[in-house]
Amino acid sequence: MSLLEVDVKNRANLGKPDFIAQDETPESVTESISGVIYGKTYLWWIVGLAVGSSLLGIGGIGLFWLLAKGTGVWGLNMPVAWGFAIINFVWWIGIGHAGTLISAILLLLNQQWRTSINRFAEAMTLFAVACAGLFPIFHTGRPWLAYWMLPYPNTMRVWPQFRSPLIWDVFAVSTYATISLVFWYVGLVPDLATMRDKAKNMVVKRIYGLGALGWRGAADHWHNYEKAYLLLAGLSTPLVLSVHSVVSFDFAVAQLPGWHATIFPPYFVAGAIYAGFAMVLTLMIPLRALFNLHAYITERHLENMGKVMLTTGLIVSYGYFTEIFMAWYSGNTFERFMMYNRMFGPYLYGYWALILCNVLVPQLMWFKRFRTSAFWLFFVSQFVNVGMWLERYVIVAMTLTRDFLVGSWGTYHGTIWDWAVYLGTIGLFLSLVFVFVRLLPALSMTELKMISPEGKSAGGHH
Amino acid sequence: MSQVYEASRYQPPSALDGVQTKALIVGVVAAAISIAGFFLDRTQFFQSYLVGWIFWFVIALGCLGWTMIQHLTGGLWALVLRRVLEAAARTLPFFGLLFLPFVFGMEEVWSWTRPEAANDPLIQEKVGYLNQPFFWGRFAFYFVFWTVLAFLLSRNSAKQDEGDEKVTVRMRMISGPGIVLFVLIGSFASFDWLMSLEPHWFSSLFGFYFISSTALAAMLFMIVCAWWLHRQQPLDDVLTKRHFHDYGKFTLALVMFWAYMTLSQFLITWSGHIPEFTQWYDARNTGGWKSYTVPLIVLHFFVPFLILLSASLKKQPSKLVLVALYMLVMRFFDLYWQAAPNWHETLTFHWLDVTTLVAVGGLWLFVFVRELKRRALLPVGDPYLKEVLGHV
Repeated sequence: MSLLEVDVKNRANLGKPDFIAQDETPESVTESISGVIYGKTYLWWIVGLAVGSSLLGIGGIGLFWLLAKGTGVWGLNMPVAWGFAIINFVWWIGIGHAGTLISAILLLLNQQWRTSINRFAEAMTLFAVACAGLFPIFHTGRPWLAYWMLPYPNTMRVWPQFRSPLIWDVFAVSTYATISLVFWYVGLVPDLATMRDKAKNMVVKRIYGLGALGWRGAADHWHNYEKAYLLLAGLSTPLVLSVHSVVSFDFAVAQLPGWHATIFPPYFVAGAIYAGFAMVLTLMIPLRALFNLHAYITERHLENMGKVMLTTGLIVSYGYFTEIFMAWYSGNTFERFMMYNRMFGPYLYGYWALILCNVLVPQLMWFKRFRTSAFWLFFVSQFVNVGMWLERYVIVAMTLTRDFLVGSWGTYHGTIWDWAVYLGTIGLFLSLVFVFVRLLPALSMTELKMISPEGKSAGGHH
Repeated sequence: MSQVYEASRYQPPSALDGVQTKALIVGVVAAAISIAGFFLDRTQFFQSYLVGWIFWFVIALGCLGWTMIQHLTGGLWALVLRRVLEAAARTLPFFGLLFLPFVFGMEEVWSWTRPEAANDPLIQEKVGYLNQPFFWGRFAFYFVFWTVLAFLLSRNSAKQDEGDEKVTVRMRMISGPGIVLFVLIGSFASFDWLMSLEPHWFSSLFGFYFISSTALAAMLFMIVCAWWLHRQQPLDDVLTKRHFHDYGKFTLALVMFWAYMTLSQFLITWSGHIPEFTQWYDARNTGGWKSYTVPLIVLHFFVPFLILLSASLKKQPSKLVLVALYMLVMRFFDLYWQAAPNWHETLTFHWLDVTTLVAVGGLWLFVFVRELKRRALLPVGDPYLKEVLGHV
């Protein structure tokens, strides 16, 4: 970006709070971000990691029991062959989407506010995808044979069913995980070099140095880096839409009322971004306070995230409303019953709690007072986290327990082992987040330097 | 910053008068021919007229949507064309007026209004929505809403020119809830006018699909206007390559979004294979329509997609405008594809399809240019504009 453009953009901000405190310099950025890693270990960090790894331990017990006994220990039964496993899979995959949106789409749109939050959100994407991946793998019952889902020539002459969206999921999710990992890593390289240069201990220096791939900050390094970064952003952009669209096909290509709906792809994508931003806020608001990062994650970042949540939340609400209208407009008994069952059937609490969490409470984001308050954003995010889980619960459990024939109806409840594995993935996620913020720069030093007042006047790139 | 932007400097060019006269002449001639067609083939007239009407209406509607998005995002790329958007949005009541002839042609167009629909059990299930008094009640409600919204924004925008800076915030406050209701109401309008052409069929994606095509159509129209305006004073030094690059990027994104929507709807319907849903695609896959459907996918998606990947092309107004004009033609073919197979089992075209399209277009352009001439071509009072132009 030319100097002139930066200047114009800056001026167009017209007195709004900045994306970085005005007294920050490239040196102060390096000091405070690398200080998080080279500084002392806080008690709260140990407590946080302990909580995360304890939950992870519960998940370990859950998985052990699952493998010892088989998937029957989960609450699966014949109308509902697909319970928590698919609900949690979709929930986690959705959470990952905020990272991709922030890093790829906001980069292509030249949105500066992505700079302080992209690294963290991208890491969150990777961890969320890792949690998501566990569910289908263990739901196979024989996770050691999960590689059968890949199409490879084999002596059994067995191929996956290419017409099934579950196989598309294998490709969509593995592509997503790969691109996200590469994107995240490429962005890390210059920062790893900074960490290497800052290290006082030889071993630490070597380890960061290995990751930095010999980065010396030469002009041609920067040139290649920027090119690669932009290309990866381009590659990631369609993934924001495609991954969750494919996930929505898992349901939508079936013939069941409540699943077979053409609106599912865009509505799932919006829901994914919604859930993802709620999770980013859930983690970032406490970390910002604990590491004292207010200079980099400003009120404006919070407000913008609140706006994205409002927008995607409204799209999701539009989806709920369209479902209600179309169920009636279809004139189809089963479609109409599906909606009636959601609202007044045995699981009605799930539906109304979902409306409360995803439609009603987030309307607070219309008001600047709530959008700019860390407390209220955190408050609303918790509702969205729960609401997005309930959404998948409503879609999966309500449709499967009561489809066409009354004789095939059933009930569904998660067992203690379902919850154990679910809590385990939350533990895995938290543990990874805590390890990540302690070992790697959670905010991109490189990019923050470019938007710091001094870096800018030196003609920062991007 | 000492330079003051005055409305007088950005008065519409006099060349607009010529465009206006030509549009009126073309519109009146085409309308006369179309009215003759009405007496020759009443049914065909109304069917062709609906497609022609929707084609231009969608552009004006999309311009209202972009106006609100401009207020909400503060996008500089749309700010320089806001007067075009506002002028187009102010023409919405004109479309309400042009819709009134359908009072006499309901049965020719919407099969659920025909007497035999009374014996159709599925249509009877939806009769609470698909009935004429409610249809016209909704029509009135939609147009009152759009008109009020367009004029509210337009009036505040005029106040902004006079130096009232408070209205900047007010317009944003209107646009927030405005865009939410706009999407909702636009969806229902598409159910009424397009989806219910096949009353047995429904698709929950249809509203999104319609709204995103209004965004695309309006963007294409913006490119054409920007191209025309950038060739003469006073906007010749305001509209730069960067703006065209942005418009090109939006067009590319919306073309991709169109393909995404189309593919999603088709894939879900095809995989589900439930007759209730597939009938809509069956109608477009038989009777010669297949030879229309397949090229439409290529010409509406693959061709513009590959062309618009080029960054240098997007920065050249004279080339980008050609892509935009081409895509406007494709918009017509897509619209025709959604509507016509509901009426004709075999692939059919009629000369009335062309004359009604030209008639509505000519008359509308006349009204649009008249509106455009009313104000300065730039919202000179906008605080963002002052900041930006001060440096370009």
